[in-house]
Amino acid sequence: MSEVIVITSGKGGVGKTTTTANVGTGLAKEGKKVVLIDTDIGLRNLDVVMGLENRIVYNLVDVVEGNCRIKQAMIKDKKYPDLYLLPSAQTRDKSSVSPEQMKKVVDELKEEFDYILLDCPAGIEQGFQNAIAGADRALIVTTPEVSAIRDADRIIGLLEANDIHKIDLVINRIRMDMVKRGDMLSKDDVLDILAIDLIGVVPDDENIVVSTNQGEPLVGSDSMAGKAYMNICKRVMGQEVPFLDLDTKSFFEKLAGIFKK
Amino acid sequence: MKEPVLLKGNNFGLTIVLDDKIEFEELLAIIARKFVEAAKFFNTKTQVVLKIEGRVLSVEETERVLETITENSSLSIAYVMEGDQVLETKFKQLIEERAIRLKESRSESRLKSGGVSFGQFYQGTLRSGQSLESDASVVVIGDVNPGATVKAKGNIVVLGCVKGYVFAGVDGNDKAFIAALEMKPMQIRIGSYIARSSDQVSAKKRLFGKKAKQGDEEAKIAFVEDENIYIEPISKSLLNEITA
Repeated sequence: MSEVIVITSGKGGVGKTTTTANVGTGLAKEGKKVVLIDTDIGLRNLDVVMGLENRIVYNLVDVVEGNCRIKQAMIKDKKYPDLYLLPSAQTRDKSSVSPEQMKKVVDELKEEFDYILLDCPAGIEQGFQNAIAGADRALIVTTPEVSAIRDADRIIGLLEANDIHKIDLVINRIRMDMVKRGDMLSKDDVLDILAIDLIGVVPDDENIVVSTNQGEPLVGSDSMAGKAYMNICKRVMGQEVPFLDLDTKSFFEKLAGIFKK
Repeated sequence: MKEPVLLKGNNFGLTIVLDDKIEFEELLAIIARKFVEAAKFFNTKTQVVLKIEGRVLSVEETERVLETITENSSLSIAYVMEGDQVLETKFKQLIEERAIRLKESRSESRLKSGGVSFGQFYQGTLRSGQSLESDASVVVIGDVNPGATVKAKGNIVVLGCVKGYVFAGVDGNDKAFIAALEMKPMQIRIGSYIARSSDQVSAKKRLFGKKAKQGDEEAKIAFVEDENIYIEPISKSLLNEITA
C-alpha cells in the first residue's frame, strides 16, 4: 500500500528539502519504491540537493498542463534505481497548479510507488495547499527556535483542519552543547509545546552542508545526521527504532564531544 | 477489387500502376498516402527511374504525380518511363535545381538559423527563474545564472557566463549554435539534441565556485555535429567551418 507524506514546516530554512531528500533516499535504500515531488514552484531546490538539476527536461507544471506524460518528467536517481524525482518548474509560480491537479498527479503515482514524498514550500498559501492536497500523513520539520515552533504549531492546526491527522515531528539542527548550557530549547521543550509524535531528532551537523552542496544525501552514512535520518526512515516504515538519544546522557556527551572538537 | 494505385519495384527503379477509371485528384491523394505509408521503405536519397503503367497521363498530370511523390517521400525521380519510352524530362533538371537550393539554404542556415536572420539583444543578468524566449536569435549581455533559461528559435550568444539552461533552435533547427564567454551550462539543447553537464564537474564547480582555473573561462561555442553536441573553444577556423 502506498503512502503519501508531505514534508512541511511553515517557516523557511528549517530543512524541509534536506529532510525530503534524505528520507526519500533512505527509504529507497531500504528497498522501497519512492518518488519525491518538489511542489515549490518557482523556488525549486530539491533537484539541486539531489544533484539531479542537470537532468531536468520536463517538470510538474508540464505534467499538469499535459505537455508531457508523468513518466517523462520523472528523473531517476543517480544511485538508486527505485528513487525518482518529479521536479518543479522554476520559471512559473504557485498558481500554475491547483490542489485538484496535484491530487490527480499523486493518485496516478500511488499505483506505482510505495512512498510519495511531497516537499512543501514555506508559507501557508497556495503552494502549501497544493502540497497537502493529496497527502495521507505529514512530517513537520522544525528547529528548536521559538519562531520555527510557532509556525509549526500553526501548520499542525491547518493540517488537522484539512483532515490530515497522522502528523509526526522532526526536530532538526539541534545542538546538544547549547541545550546543555540552557541556551537552546531541548527536544522535550519542543514536544511540550507542539504535543505531537516525535519521529526523529537530527543534530546540527556540518556534513549536511557538504552533502547538500555536493548533491548527495548523506542518509545512512556514519555521521550523526546520517544515522538520525536513517532512523527516521525506519520509523516512517513503521519499525520500532530506539532514539539515538534514548540514553540521554551518553548521547548528549557524545554529541558534546563532537562539537567541542 | 484491384487497387487504384500499385507500387512495384523493378530492375531500375519503381513501377507505379495507376487505375485509369477514377478521378485524377483522387488518384493523387491515394499516391500521396501510399508514399507516406511506405516512407520508411523509400527513405533512400538515391535517384530512381519511375515507370508509369495502366493509365496514360498528360505531361501536366505526370508532373503533378512526380510532385506528389517528391513531396511525400525522399525519393528523387531522375527519369520517367512511359511504356518503353524513356523521358529524360525537365523533372531531373527541376530536382537538381531544388537540391541546389536546399544546399544553399542549409549553408546559410547556421547563420540565418533557418530563416531567423534577425536577432534580439538582452542586457542584464538572467537570474534563477527568469526566462528569456525569442523567435529570433538572442544576444545576452550578462550572465545566465543556474535556474535561468534562454530559449531561442535561432542562435544564442552570451557575453558573460552561461550557468543555466540554454536552448537554441527551439523549433528543431539542429544548425543553431550557442556561444558564450564562459560555458558552464547546466543543460544545453540544440534543435532535437540535449546535453547536460557532467555530474562530477558540477559538484566540483559548486564546491570550489570561483576558484576555477583561468583556462576554464575561455570563450566557447556549442554546436551539433554527428548527432552530438560539441563544445569547443571559439576559433576563426571553427567558426568558418560551422557557419560554412
